[in-house]
Amino acid sequence: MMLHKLRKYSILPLLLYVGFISLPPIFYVIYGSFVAGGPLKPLGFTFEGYLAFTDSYVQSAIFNSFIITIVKTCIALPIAFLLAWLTTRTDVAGKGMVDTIMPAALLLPGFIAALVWILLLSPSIGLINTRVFPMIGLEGVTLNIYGLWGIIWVQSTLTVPYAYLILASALRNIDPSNEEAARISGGRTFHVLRTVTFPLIRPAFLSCLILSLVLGMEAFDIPLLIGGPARIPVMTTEIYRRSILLPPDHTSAASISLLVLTVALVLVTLQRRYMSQEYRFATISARGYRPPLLKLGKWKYIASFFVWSIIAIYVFLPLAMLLIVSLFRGYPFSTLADFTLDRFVSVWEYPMLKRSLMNTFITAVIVGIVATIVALFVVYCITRTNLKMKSLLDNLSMLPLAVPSIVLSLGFLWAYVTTPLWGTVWILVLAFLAKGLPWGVRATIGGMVQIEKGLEESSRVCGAGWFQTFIKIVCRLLPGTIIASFLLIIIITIRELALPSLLKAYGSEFVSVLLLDMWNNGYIGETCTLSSILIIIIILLTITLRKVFKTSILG
Amino acid sequence: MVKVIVENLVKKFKEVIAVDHVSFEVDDGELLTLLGPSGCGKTTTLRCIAGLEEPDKGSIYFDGSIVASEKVSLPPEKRDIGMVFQSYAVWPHMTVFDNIAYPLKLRKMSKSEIKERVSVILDIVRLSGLEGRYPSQLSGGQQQRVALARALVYNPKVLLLDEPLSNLDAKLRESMRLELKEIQKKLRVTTIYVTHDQIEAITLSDKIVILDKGKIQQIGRPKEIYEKPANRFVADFIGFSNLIEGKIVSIDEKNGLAFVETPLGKLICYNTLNLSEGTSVVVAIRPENIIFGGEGYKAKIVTSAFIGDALMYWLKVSDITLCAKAHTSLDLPSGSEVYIQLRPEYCKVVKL
Repeated sequence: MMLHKLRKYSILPLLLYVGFISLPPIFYVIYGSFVAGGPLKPLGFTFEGYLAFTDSYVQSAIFNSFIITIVKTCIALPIAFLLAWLTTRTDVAGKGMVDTIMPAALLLPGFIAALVWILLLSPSIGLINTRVFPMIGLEGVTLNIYGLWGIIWVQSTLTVPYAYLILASALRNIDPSNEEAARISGGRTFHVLRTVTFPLIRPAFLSCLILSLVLGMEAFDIPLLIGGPARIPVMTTEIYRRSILLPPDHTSAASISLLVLTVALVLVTLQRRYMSQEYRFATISARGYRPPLLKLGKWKYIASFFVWSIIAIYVFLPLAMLLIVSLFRGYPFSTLADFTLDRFVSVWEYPMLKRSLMNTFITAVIVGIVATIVALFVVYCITRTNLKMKSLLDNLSMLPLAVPSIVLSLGFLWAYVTTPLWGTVWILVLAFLAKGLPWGVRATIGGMVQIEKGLEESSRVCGAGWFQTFIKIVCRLLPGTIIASFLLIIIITIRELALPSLLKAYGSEFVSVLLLDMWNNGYIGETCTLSSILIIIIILLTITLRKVFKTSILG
Repeated sequence: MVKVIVENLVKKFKEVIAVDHVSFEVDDGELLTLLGPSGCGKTTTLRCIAGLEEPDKGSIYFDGSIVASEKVSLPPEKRDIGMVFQSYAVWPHMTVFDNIAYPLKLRKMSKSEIKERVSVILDIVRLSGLEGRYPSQLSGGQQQRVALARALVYNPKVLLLDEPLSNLDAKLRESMRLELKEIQKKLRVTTIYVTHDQIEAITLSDKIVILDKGKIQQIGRPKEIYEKPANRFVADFIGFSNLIEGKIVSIDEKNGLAFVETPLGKLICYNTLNLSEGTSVVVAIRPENIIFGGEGYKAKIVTSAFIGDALMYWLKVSDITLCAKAHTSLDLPSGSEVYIQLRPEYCKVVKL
């Protein structure tokens, strides 16, 4: 009797923890938008924060946010779908390579992508504008990154890789007999694509579309780096600008945050709907079986050229540029004699670099471990029990996904600025725990639902309690999933700019903020060197963990 | 030593009643089968006994002590049962030895005792020498033996088997059936077996419980059920393909006969269920019990099918289609007319 009751309430500590990290930022953003004078010296109730919406600068920020998000999605998704279809269904050249390269592209943080594209396409220093165009006889032609199109372009280069991965895996999971049956009934390639293939992956496509919109709305680093000099505000950068004014205007920042938050919440709710439909369509086919490939014939060259141009422009070009700038003295360099490895040594002397790296990696590891463990328990509760409060737990743990980072950090600022946590690295740890949890849950849930229920039940019958079963069976069957979740959270932590921008303090610097600082101080070469080092560290980490656990991660 | 009692068990899933007031007893060392089509509630009943589901009503006793009721439901790990799942549920990340040793380790046995016990049980299930293999390196039948060994190695009070043979191919299924029976008799463990296969149930069981839509249709020894199906459902389920509706018009108590008025005319049947005059009944006849030739009913052959060891004929007898099984030497063309006999001892009267 007692045991029975206890088990029902065992979900409570988990619920409390998840509520504690995901609710305060939202609550404080709402609260803060009505409090005059900011969190340090609250002066009482006000509506003035909402007057910000009458400001034409804010209005154009809202307009820009929507335009950028919608246009970059419209560009990136068709490209990603075409790529995914070509690599999963046709004999296009080097498709195995595409599957290895695309996950690597995910490792490129947005602020580094923005820097690289500025170095390529700035009218005054961009390599393409100053060197490549004159060289190929396009004297006077300038592609200017500093504009709406620049932001759209860089964001679309970051959207294509994850959209590709989602769509390619959806395409691969379709039972090939669906398409075979359509072909046998006489359907031609395009007809089958339109009437069978696409409808089957529609849930994945819609969920991908919404994810692209959400990430577009909450993008902060690219609009900050490119839109800043170009004077193109978006909502997130406007929230940031108002938060760092002297004196800061945290009230109107919170009011604008509420708009972003509402849009993101609506989108994430929609996306979760489609995600659940995706499971309905999930038809895992027999392992090792590959559907017969469509022979492209003379189209093969065009298709291969398309695939590899995309890869070259979206992945190779930025990475190569980064390496080139870090390996040559001065910028823009002139001769091969300028080659040097010096910067990889001298960059360490940059003030606070070591501390920033330490802060970043310690935070990333702590958050990676804690959020992964919490995510495991949350997913276990959601998928394996019929506890009454599990849907509440589910929704609470996914909530931070709908909170754009800049809003999350403003919420944490409002909530914790008067506590002793403020100004320490722990406030960042807390914020990243909130940020990381939904991604941990997402990374874990797929693996968990694949564990057949009987594997756990037989352990229970053998005499193991649920916790023993959880440790000895569930966790032991999920090493790949656990590592994937851990890695994903670490990468999210390292590439995040918005959270540390508002939450850092002296002593708790973060490497992403430091990079921005270097860049703004004109240390272009050093910025690229540090970026290269960061990317190399991330890649090494991924490869090592993959090797150790012999599992495919990020795939 | 171990007697299992299930009393008025009720289990609902939302609005659907999966198990509806089910009661039965399993004596010590006995093998009882829960038999029925899919969705009849047999697996749910088993899962309630295992503690994997909590009953809404009713109670379950192991040896007089209660393990589940509306108020209490002992978790599975506290019930001391062994269970084999339909999917075997052999843990893919452990070797055969580790799989079987798992319950022993949980019982804090010494290393040497674990080794001893595992080797004894491996011998019984005939897997000796495969200790170091991983499940992915085993065939379906071998995985199934591992699951059985894991369920038996700690001498559980009760052994539960959830369609353990349904994933094996036909030939292997037959030999495993015999082996399973042998092992069960040898270890004399009280066993509850779930299946939808009537032949499996009849060959293995000491007692069969037939379920349909969550309700018990009949409980009895295999021979009893085979020969005296209680109602139309049971008759149909255990292979009486010919079911002719009718009404008892008179009874010959001395010879245990019932005279049933049917569309075929008056049939003389054995009144095995002692039904009274005037009862609406179904006369059930197995295809192999329809005898060709002699004096009897005139039938027209509609179609036939060769099924290997026999020929199946579909016959039309005054607007009623009957199915008959005949020796392959009897080759009759479609459309031809024959005489068939429906003998009293083969005509079972069952309730509607």
